[in-house]
Formats: sequence, C-alpha cells, structure tokens
Amino acid sequence: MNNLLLFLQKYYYWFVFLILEIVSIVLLFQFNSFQGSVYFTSANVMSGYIYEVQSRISSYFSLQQVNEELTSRNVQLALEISNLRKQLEAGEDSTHRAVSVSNVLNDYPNISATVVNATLNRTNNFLTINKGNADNVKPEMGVMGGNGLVGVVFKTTEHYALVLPLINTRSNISCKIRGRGYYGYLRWDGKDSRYAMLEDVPRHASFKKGDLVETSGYSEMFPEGIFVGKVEAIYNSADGLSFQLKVRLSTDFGRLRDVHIIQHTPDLERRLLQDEVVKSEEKEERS
Amino acid sequence: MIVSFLRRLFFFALLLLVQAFILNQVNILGYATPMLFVFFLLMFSRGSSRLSLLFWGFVMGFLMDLFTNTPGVGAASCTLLGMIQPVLLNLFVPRESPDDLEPSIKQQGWAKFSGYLLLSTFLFYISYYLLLAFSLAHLEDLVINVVGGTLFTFVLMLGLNSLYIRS
Repeated sequence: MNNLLLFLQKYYYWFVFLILEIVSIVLLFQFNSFQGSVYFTSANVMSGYIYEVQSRISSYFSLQQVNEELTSRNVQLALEISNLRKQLEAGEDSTHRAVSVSNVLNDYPNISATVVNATLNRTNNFLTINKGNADNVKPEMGVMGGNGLVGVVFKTTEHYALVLPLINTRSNISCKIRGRGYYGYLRWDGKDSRYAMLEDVPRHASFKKGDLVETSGYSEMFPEGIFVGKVEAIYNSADGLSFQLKVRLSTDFGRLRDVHIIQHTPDLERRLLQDEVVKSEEKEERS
Repeated sequence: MIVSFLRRLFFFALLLLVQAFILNQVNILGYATPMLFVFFLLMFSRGSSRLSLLFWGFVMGFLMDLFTNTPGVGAASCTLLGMIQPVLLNLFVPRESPDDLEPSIKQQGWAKFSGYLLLSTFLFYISYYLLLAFSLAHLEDLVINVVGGTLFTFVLMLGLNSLYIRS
C-alpha cells in the first residue's frame, strides 16, 4: 500500500497527462461528426463575437474593392438581362430553363449573413457566419455568395454558424457541366483555395476547357443551376475510368464577405420516395 | 508568487491574441503557418511543476483550437509538449547549471538554446499535423508544413526572445 502511494506520488503527472490527452482526443472525434458539439469552435459565443468585431473593423479597409466588385457584377447582370430579353422576344425555347431556375430560387427564400472568420490554408477550412438558430439557419442548408456557390452549413449555435465551404476536403457536392448535362462530384484536394476538382465525369462525356460548371439539383441543399466555376484543365482519373476536371471556382474565398443561406423547403414527395427506396433495399438485404 | 503568476498570465494572453489575430492569417505559399504560442511553454524554467506545465499546455492548446476550428488537435499536442518539455530542456543544458535554470541564450549559449527551440517546435509540429491529417496520405504536404512551420516559428521565437531581453 505504501509503495503504491509512493508510486502515485512520484508519477501522478503521467495520469494527468493521459486524462488530458483523452479529453483532447474525445473533443477531436466529437467534432468530426455532424451531431457533435459545436461549442468548442469559432462559432461559440466568445470567439464568434471577437471575430465579428474584428471583421467589422477590417471590413472598412476593403470597401473600395467591394464597390468595384458590385459594379462589375451589376454590369454583368444588366448584360444578362438584356440577353434574356432578346431571347424572350425571339421566343426561343432556351428561355424556359432560365425562367425555371428563377422560379426555383423563389421557392428557396434566403437569409443574408456576413462571414466573420474564414481559413484558407488548412485541409479542413471553415467559415464562421453571423447568423444561427435564432435566424432559422439549420445544418445542411446551402450557402451562396454573390459570385456563386460557397458551401453548406455544418453546425449552428444560437447566433453563429459554421459553414463547410467547397474548399474543405470533406465537401462533396453534385455538379454538372452547363449545357452538356454530364454530372460529377465536386471535391477539393486540399491544396489551392482557387481550384476544386470535378470527379467521376464519364469517359464518353464531351466538353471543353472554359465550359461552366453549376449545381445539378440532385440534392435538396441547392436548386439546379447555381454557378460554381469554369473548367480550367482536364485530367484522367487515377483508375482511368473517368475524367477529372480542374475547376476554377467563381467564389474568391480569400475575400468572401456577404453570403446568402438558401432555406430549403423540404420536398416531401421526394423525401418519401427516397425513404421508400432505402427501406425496400434494406428489406431485400435482410431477406 | 502572485506577481510571477500574473506575469505568466499576461504573457499567455499576449501570445494567444497575437497568434489568433495575426499569425493564423500568415502563411508562405499556402504552407508554413507559424505557431508562436508554443514559445510560452518552452520558457518554463527547469524544475517547474510538471502538473502546471501540463495544465497550461492543455488550456493554451484548447483556446487556440477555438480560433482555428480544430478542437482537440492543439490541446493534445500542447499537452504532449508540456509533458516532454522538461526532458527536452535537460538535453540542452550545459553541465553544472542551476536546477532552476531559465531557458535563454545567456544561460545555455547560442547553439544549445537554438537546438532546444528547434527540436521542441519540430516535435510539436509533427504531433499537430499528424493529428490534424490523421493519415500519412499526403506525406509531402505534411513534411513541407512541418519543416516550413518549424523554421518560420523558430525565426519568430528568436526575434521575440531578443525583444524580451532588451525590455
């Protein structure tokens, strides 16, 4: 007994060390699931608030740039409108799609938010935005910037939310090549925050450099047709069975500030159908 | 006692803020982010209580994680550094030095002090990035991040150290 006490007295710090390490590892693994706690991240009240104050101050330094961007975006939109109007007058069928996209967007009311913190140079980057549960922001909602797709809401607290942007190796979004109809998955390789990879594009697909990439509308997070980026280079996949496209992202994550959260209205019919299929598959597996 | 605790707390808060608001935004070519906050743990004198080293390390890492969205990663590697700091320091002390030696150029000499900082930072970076990636899949990136970060942090530490002495 005495020996045991002496032993404990001498090496107690080993136990403390082990306990602290276990606590850390538990924190690490908890964060890696969607259900895990969000209070130990930059979306908690303390660091969220500090970051918000910092970003409010630093936002003044980039006002000129923001203005320029807004102007150029305005011009771009004006051009697009005049183009669409011409097509409408000509009575072409291609207007149908543009109209349907704007209809879909109406079904998805948005919440605007401001990015208060962002990382670019890690393999798992996150954005913190200043809207949370109190503003009806929920996990797995889509996030859009002025120039295109940004990412998906990962976790929320009362007044802040953590967004999983395209430039996170865990991000995985179904996209298609505009006007060609071929689908693929947009993933990030963890290197350059300006580019992402569109993977699993079939071998027989026809496309060229400079083609535009947009969301496919397969998931409920985003409507069809939100701009993602431009094809910059074409590679073969590692197994040679599909193409891998390097996509120049339209969103500049280094300067992202104002974003919109797309509030999805759950498509009940689609949900029910998916659930049914999953259930019947499970049954088949069991039998 | 209280004065030294307050001084330590001040140093702690200062490093934390500098790290969170300045150094976390810095990186060279997408790699090599400096982590100056480990300097806090390395400055504990020889013979410091191992318990306090562990707790200061854990709290430091935990608070850093809040700012970088890496819960547990910094806490685990800082605790590890707190555990091995006394061993590392003992490797780099000259013979017949006092038991409560404070790590510095004056006490250890250039070579030993630099060696101490470099090795400790290097070990910290390895544990940090291994936990962060949790795989050896991108070994090249890992090596670049670790070596670049270590050197960058080392240079900053020497800078901070010279400031510290003058004031």
